[in-house]
Order: sequence, then structure tokens, then C-alpha cells
Amino acid sequence: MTTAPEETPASDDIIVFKDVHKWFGSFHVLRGITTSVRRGEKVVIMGPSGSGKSTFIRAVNRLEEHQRGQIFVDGVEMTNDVRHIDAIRRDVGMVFQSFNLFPHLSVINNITLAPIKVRKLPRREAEQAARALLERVGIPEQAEKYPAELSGGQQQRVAIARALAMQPNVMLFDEPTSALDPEMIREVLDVMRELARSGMTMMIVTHEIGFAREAADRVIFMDEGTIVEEGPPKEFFINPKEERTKLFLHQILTH
Amino acid sequence: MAQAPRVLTYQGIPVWRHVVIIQWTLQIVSAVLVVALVAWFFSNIANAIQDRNIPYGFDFLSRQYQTPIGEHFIPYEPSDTFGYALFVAATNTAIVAVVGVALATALGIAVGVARLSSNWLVARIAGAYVEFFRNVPLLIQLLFWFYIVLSLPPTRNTHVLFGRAYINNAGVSIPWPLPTGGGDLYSGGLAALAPYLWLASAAIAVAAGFVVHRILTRREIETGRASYPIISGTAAAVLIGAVGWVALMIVNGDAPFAISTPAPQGAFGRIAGGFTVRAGLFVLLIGLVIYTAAFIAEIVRAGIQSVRKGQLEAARALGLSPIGVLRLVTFPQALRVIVPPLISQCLNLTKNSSLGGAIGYSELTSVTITMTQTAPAISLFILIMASYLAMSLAWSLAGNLYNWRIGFKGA
Repeated sequence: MTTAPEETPASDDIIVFKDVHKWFGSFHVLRGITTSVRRGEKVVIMGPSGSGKSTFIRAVNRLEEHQRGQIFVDGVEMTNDVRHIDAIRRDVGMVFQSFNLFPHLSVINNITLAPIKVRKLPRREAEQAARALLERVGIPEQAEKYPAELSGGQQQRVAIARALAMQPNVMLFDEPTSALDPEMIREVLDVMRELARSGMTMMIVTHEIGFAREAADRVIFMDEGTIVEEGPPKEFFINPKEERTKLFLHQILTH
Repeated sequence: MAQAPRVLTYQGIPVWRHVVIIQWTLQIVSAVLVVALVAWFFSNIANAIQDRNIPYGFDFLSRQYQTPIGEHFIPYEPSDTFGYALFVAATNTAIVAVVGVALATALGIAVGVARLSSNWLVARIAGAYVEFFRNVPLLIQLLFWFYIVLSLPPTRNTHVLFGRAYINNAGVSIPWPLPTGGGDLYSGGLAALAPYLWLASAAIAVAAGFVVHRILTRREIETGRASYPIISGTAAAVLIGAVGWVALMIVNGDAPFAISTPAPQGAFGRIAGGFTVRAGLFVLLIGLVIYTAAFIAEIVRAGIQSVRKGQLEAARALGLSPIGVLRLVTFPQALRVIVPPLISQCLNLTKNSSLGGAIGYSELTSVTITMTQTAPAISLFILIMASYLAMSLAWSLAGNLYNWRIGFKGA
């Protein structure tokens, strides 16, 4: 369902950042980010805490507003135009570190809320799609439960299903496994691997090196608001060029 | 440790060390103490009442009150009994409570949401409103509104609004639909029912409108096709209302009700006709609503702010509009936090209406104070305390039922 026909050339960039800057007050979080993500590409973003990696992907759907530079998603520029913001948000799914499921709605209603209210899908159709997605993330039997009744791993899988229900072209993951107990990380990563195989464009902030090695097409290393180094995981992990990258990899590999 | 004697053990444990026995003993001892204290208190009062010949008892309730009540929404004559007069006063209080709570809640929600507005001016005005009205004593505010109303022109020089409504220091008079009497078709008891027939048909029309709205909303959700529930629901209500109107007009031989327009009459220009909200009620409602809404606004603000930021981000990331986020995600979660303190404010408004006597509204407390001149005060005050308690418990019950209904499952 999410495997879009490859009618656009592989060189087609779905996300483009041109010299993007962002300040929190006087703190310069993003210092001129320029990069692009191809359709179907899986990009893992790594970096020490405070390096601006979360802000970077949150700028894609304007959960963080950028103050200078340009961001394009699927050809639409992210501006102050409400229509552009809405169009991009409908097109971009997001998964958060803390799941952020709606506690007052059952699992099925969490998933169908936006398709019914935003995409105006008929309820029956939205529910069928939701059940299919629950099947896909491996928890079809939890449809009628409420978020508080699920484990962390199950909640995060519902959150992924909820984002997929809007049939996005891009999925953003902001440290999706950082709030999970070790035994639940695997079930979420399995879902993300399956999603990656299906051809979805993904931007993932994560510390899971195994996942990055296996699933990513490219790793971006950020520090102090800039992209320090980027490249295919093989080169990045085995043969990093920059000193800062080497130091970071040394720190996370030998802890 | 020495062997405990067998007689004083329970489950093989000496009773003075058995947790369950200790707890039960403490419970029983404290219950006995409380009962004894209350009994001593009341027997003391009863003795004092007897010794000093203080009048006491409830016989007066069936006596004629023989005093007019300034304002009443159900029929009342001075020849009615004390008991009925108290009931009339209680309805006056209940009307203020119900109308006041409805208006204060609406205003409070609006101000509370406005305080969180990203519009600087709107947020500041709402903030100033809350800080001012929350921090000035209610009695002062009531008297302030009272003097403003007093400074309006007297009835004989009344202000006229749009040529149809009148505002003066006696109150506000607006045009109002009044049922016309039954036609020839009715006789005896049926004639009294005639005005209510139109009310009933209007109620049916409104209910039908809601049903149509609901069905179409559901259809819109089920099928995803635009079904115009609001327009269709309104149309259905108007149509059925019109049919009912015509039917009643044929049966009645006259329009079922006529708009009564107030107009000054006589040498003093007393306003007759229409519907008049007298100054006392008007001032009491304004004062209570504005004061209570300031507290409700803070409750609403706290409720909205209690919803985690991640919830809004998730909702926005899904593409919901700002109003959609507020309505579908923020508010349902905020309500859980809002409702319990909101019930407290309903209770406060109801109890604060007892200040109405200060500005000339005949609510329960002021009527009771007048009654003490001709009936035993202790009995009267026991009765009105029970009345306020009953009203407060009714609010609590309603609020708790609602809160139970909106509670999260599985949390």
C-alpha cells in the first residue's frame, strides 16, 4: 500500500534543505543545514545530544520553525502559508520518542482519527485500513484496547500504524526506541525494517548502530548544529573521515 | 519472648499485636467518640432551647406567611404557607444557580482559552480580567453593579433600545413570546394545557433537528461524503416547527403565541408586557457570572496546560487543524482535569447567590431572614442549610456522573 509506483526517477529529491538556520533565543541550533533525501532513501541521523538532530527532522514538518533558508518537501516549500504546512503534514508521518498516543481514544480510534477528520475517509474504509496496519505491525488483537493497557513496544507500534494510516510519502522517526525497555526495542526495529524494505522514504534519529548498518542508505553525523559528515553506513562506521565522527563512534562503541 | 496466653489470641497472634484487630478497635473507639460528642452537642442545644423558651419546631410551615415575596417565577400569594413560600424562595435561588452556572461556564471557557491565545492583546485582556475579578470581594462587585443599575434612568425616563426593549433602574424588558389562551375548542382543564401544546411541538421540532443532525453526522463519518448535518438539522427543525405551528393555529383558531412587546403604561410609565428581568436578578446574575467565570477561566487554562506538549505535536504532525487539535485532542484530555474543580465553582456560585439579599433579590437566604421575624430562626436556618446542601449535592452528583463518563479507560 505504501509502496508507491516508481514513476519518478531515483534522482528525484523528496526532501531538500538549503542553508537552514534555526535559533532558540540566542542559541544557534541549526547552523546552515544543506542536504537532500531521495525518494525511497533511508537516512539515519546520529550525533551527540544537543547536536540539533531532533530539531533537524522536526523542521521537516515544522514542529520547529526554521528562521533562515529553505525547506522543500515533495516539491512544496515549507513557508508560513497554512496550505503548504497542511499539505506537507498530510504527506509526512512522524513517530516520537514518547509515542504520544491519544490516551482518551482506543487503539483503533487513535489510528482512524486523522484519516476520518483530515482525509475525510469513510469510517468503514478507515477502520479496514487501520486493522490492516495493526496486522502489519503485529498487534491486530489490540485494536479495541486503550494506550495505557499496552506495553511500550506495542504503543510505539500503534504510533507507527497511526502515522502510516495517513498514507505518507515520508516517515520521520525521532529516537523511536530510546524510551523502550531493551526487550521491546527489537519488535519496533523489526517493524521499521519491514517498512524500509517496502520502499518508504525514512529519516531516523537513532543510536541503534545495528539498525543503521543494516537498514540505512546513508548516515548523517551532526554536531553543534552542522552536518559534520555523511556517507553510506559501511564507510561511515568503518572508515570515518572527520575527527569528531571518530571520537563519537569511539564513545558509543566502547561504552 | 514469653508465651502469650491462649485466650487473647486471634489466628495464633496476641490480639494487641494483630494488625486487623488494632485497626478495627481504633475504628470503633473513634466512632463511639464522635457519636458521643455530637449527641452531647445537640442535647446541650436542646436543653438550652427548652430552658430559655426559645421558639422551636416546624409547625409554622403550614401557617400563612402573609408577606409578599419581591420576585417569584411560580405563582405565589401572601396567603400561601411558610412552607410554600420557602419553596418559592428556593426556586428563585435555583434559577440563579442554573442560569448563572451555564453562563459562567461559557464565559469561563472563552476567557480561559483566550488567556492561552497566541494573540498578545487577547491574552493580556483575558489575564487582566481574571486578575481583577478574582481579587475583588464578590459583595463589593455586586454592590458596584447594583449602583450602576441604580444610576440608570428611572422607569418614567427609560432608555429605549431598538424601539422595542427598555432598560431602566427597575430592570431590563425585552419582547417575549407569550402563549395565547385556548380557543373555543378547549374547555375546562384543557384550556390550561393549550399554551404548553406549542411548547411541546417546539420541543419536538428541536429534538427532530438534533436527530437529523446526528444521523447525517454519522453518515458523513461512515461514508466520507459531505452530508451538511448542521444545515439539514436546522432545516428539519424549522420545517417541523412550522408544521406544528400551522396545525396548532387551526386547532386554536389563533396563533399559538404572540410576541408581547413591552411598553410603558400609566402615569409612572411602568413597563408592562414582554419579559422583564428585574434589577435584582439582573445584577445578581451579572455579578456572580463575571466573578465565577474568572475562577473557571483559570481552571480551564490549567486543564488545557495539563495536556502534554507531545499530544499537540502528534496531532499537528497528523495534519489536524488548530481547532481540530483543540476539539479532538486537547479538550477531551483537559476535561478530566477541569471537571472536578469546575464542580466546586458550581457549588460556590450557588452558595454565593445567598448574597442576593444585599441587592434586593428575593433568594432563599434573604426571604428566610425576613421570615425570622415571625417564625423560629433555628428551625428556619436548619431548613435552608438543608436546602443549600441538597442543591450542592445535586451539582456534585451531576458532575461526578459526567466525570465518570469521560474517564480514561485502562488508565
